[in-house]
Amino acid sequence: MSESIVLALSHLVEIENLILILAGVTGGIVVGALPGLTATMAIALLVPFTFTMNAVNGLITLGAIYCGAIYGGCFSAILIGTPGTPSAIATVFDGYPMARKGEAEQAIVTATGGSVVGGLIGATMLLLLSPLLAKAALKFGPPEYFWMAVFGLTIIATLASKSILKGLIGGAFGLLLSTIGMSPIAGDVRFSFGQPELQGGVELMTALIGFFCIPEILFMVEQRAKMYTLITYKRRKGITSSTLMKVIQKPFLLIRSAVIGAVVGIVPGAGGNIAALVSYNEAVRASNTPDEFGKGHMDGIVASETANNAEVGGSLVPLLTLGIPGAPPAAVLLGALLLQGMRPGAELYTVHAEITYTFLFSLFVANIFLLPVGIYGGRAFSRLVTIVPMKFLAPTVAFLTIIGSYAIRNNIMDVVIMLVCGLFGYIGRKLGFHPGPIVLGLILGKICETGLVQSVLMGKASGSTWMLFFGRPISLVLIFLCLLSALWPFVANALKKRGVLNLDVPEEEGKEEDSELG
Amino acid sequence: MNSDRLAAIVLLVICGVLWYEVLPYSMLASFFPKIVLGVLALLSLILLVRSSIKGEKTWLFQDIDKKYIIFAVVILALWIGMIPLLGFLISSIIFFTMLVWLMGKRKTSISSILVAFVVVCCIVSVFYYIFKEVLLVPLPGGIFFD
Amino acid sequence: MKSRTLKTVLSGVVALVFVFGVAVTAPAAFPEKQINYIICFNPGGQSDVTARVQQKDLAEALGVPVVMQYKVGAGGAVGWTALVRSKRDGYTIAGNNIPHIILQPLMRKNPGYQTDQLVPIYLFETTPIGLAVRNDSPFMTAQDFMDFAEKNKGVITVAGVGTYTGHHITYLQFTDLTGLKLTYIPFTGAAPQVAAFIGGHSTAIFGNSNNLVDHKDKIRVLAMGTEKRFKPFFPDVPTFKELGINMTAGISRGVCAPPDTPADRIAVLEKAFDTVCRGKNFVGKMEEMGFEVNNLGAAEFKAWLDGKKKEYTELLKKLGQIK
Repeated sequence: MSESIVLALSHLVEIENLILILAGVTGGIVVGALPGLTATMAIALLVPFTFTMNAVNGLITLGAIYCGAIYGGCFSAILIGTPGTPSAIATVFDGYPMARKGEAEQAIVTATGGSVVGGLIGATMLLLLSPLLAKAALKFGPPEYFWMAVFGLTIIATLASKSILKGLIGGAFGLLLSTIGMSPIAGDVRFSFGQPELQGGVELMTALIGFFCIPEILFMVEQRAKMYTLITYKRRKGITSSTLMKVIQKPFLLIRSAVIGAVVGIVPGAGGNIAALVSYNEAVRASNTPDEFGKGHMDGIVASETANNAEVGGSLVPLLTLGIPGAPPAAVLLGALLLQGMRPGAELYTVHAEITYTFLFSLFVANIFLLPVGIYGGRAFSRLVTIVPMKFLAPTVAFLTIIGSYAIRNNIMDVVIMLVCGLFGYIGRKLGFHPGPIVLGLILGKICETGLVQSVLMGKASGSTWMLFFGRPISLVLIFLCLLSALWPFVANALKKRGVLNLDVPEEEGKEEDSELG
Repeated sequence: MNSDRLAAIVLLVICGVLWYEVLPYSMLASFFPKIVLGVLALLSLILLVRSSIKGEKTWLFQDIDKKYIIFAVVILALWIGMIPLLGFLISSIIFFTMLVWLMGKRKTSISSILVAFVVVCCIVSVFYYIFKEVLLVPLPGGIFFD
Repeated sequence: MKSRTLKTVLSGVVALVFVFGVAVTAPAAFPEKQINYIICFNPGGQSDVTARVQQKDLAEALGVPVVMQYKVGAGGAVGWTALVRSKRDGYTIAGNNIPHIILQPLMRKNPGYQTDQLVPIYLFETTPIGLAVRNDSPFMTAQDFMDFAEKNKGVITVAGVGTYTGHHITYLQFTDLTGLKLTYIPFTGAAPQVAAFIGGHSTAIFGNSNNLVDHKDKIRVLAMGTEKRFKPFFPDVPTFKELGINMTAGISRGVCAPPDTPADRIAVLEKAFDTVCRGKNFVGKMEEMGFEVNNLGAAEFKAWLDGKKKEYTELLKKLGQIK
């Protein structure tokens, strides 16, 4: 096996492969940055091109695209307030306000730094801990998924700190949106009101574009007379290095976010959408200055971007060891593997060891390449957005939303849904309903419902539904996390009033995460 | 009538309509939606009560020109609506330009509109080409081209 | 002299016009531009993978590029609805899945399409469904399994994908023919289904053959839904029929065209698919992955489809699911 590793390393330094990784990363970033095009789509669109390549070249290209696309989502999240991929939702919360404050470049550099670190940690976990982690991931059954979804919903308490009631309403509304279309369990079609197109339900990306982008466009229309460009930017020397230094000086935040990202990625069906949000939630809870989040706090971006890039490595763990993808982009990679004649499992690490290890090592290189491409590309991109007058920017963004929401499923109905969500989002914002909880409800709805219904069915068969929900070790840990997360805002207030601020909270949380895997 | 109360009432109406819709569904399919609708109705009720006690009396569109927002929404709706008819390319060029004109200052001269039109044509064409030929995502051609 | 030249010129012109006219109005050879192959399920899934194995050879056989388009949603219904609405010129085809295209119009109010609207072109594979338990299960044979189920009604949980899908109808047929009571747990896709089963969250699984093959060192397959034993992967596993349960179980895949597509174009496509799906590349890759290759042309496909539709309609009427 060690000779495979040596061979793999030698493949890595071949110019051809390095160029492919660079191209993959760049292509991935571009696709990820455009709202409406997701990492999954990027990989799916480019798989045919890899047919003509050999296994090594094809796989490392797809891996690089994956890393690039997940990272690329931060660009539109920061510059125009719409996540370019669902995994960048949490980056909007602090990235966009930072850009509006004139700190666009800091935001992008922060996102880049976080992504690189997260990606490297995720790739490390993939390389070293795969079999162990995969076994742990399998222990997640329907009850665990249910509690995980509930835990995700408690994040609403953090996102909607101003009015938890409105946040909960938003979340419930999002859950309702997720039920439109074919029921994943029963096969019935719900809330289609006679329209066959609505059988497919509301696609996450469509709703994301609608809820985040359309209000921003309308906001630009509102401000048409008052502002010339959307964001301003003051060029200063040394921003890049000083910001990177600041990022590196937050090891606890980086490591915690990366671990959360990787762990969430490992659990099949969770994916990058939730990883970043959970990480963001934890960052807020652990912070000494939780009120600064949502207004342009660096930590928010770090938490989100580190987690979502670590998720890349995590999602590949069950894929390579068991053939079960941890996230939708990994599912496409599965197809690519199968078409190359490589079957996931022990075979990958023995028969195809050379190819597999080259692929694993290439992820490290891909993440490192994010740094130059992201910083220089990001700088150019953000200059562009600062120069273009809103007169053109708003319609261009509108154009992107239309083309993007159409491209998801080649369905004009999606564009209509996008606009409707957009109007709801715009009016909602005016009424005090933040889009975050709505989108969270939409993401978690299916997981929550299938977990709940499957567990009830299992419970009926085993005769004891109660034990099923409350008697399993991992479930209990998750329930504890739920309670902690839901009650945290109240607890934190009480603690603050007494002058006690938990400085060793990060340590404790690290332990909680570990015990999940035990 | 403050904004919170309006929101609560609208939400309760939506809950009612959807509850009616859910009734004929099978047990498995209606289980979860019923729970969510119940929770939503309860929360909306709380909001309604709270709005009477300390409602936010913000009027929705206080200091902005409602006219332009409505125009923008109409243009967007027409843009999307016209795509199946005129095709993506033509629709986009027309309504993209209209949006640019809407965003412009009071007195937009013919020449600036023409400049905008040319720029718009370039942007739209480039993206159309990339999506159609490079990424192989077929964009609707409308009744003239399909 | 002049009249003779005039006649020659006139006849020359007439000849020219005739030739030109024929050339312009003669039917163009099909196909001339790219074929759009709609995939109704997620990229990376079985439907995608099986289509991609065909892609290159198909493009060669037809002489034009073949482009995959994904229209995902509602268990395939979104894609088939789109197919039914697309142009009937033979340039748009879609992969179809049985029993999905039979069961969805039967069980849903507004599926957007009817089974008969999808014109069959070719049926190229079947993924047999098998009943399996894990290696640590107390059931060594199918008989052990059935004996236990007899005494403990509803205790055994079986994982499947969705409702009114291949796995579910397998479950319905199995329980109907054996009279046993089990509990069916639907999952949203093969990946979560297999993960849950391997992870110990359900007692048994009605699984796709390729998934069973992937994990064969961790599981024990009790029965397969094939006509004859599933070689080379599970030669020692009895079929349902051998056990006295008169059913086959599988998810089959083919291609179809919009209604009223010209028959000659369908014939061209049928021939191309036949060439591809008998070719070494396709057959080899499919068997390697654990699928069963079929080669049914348009007419045979239609006959088989009608037979299956009758079978399922009768079963569902019997179970009271439809009137």
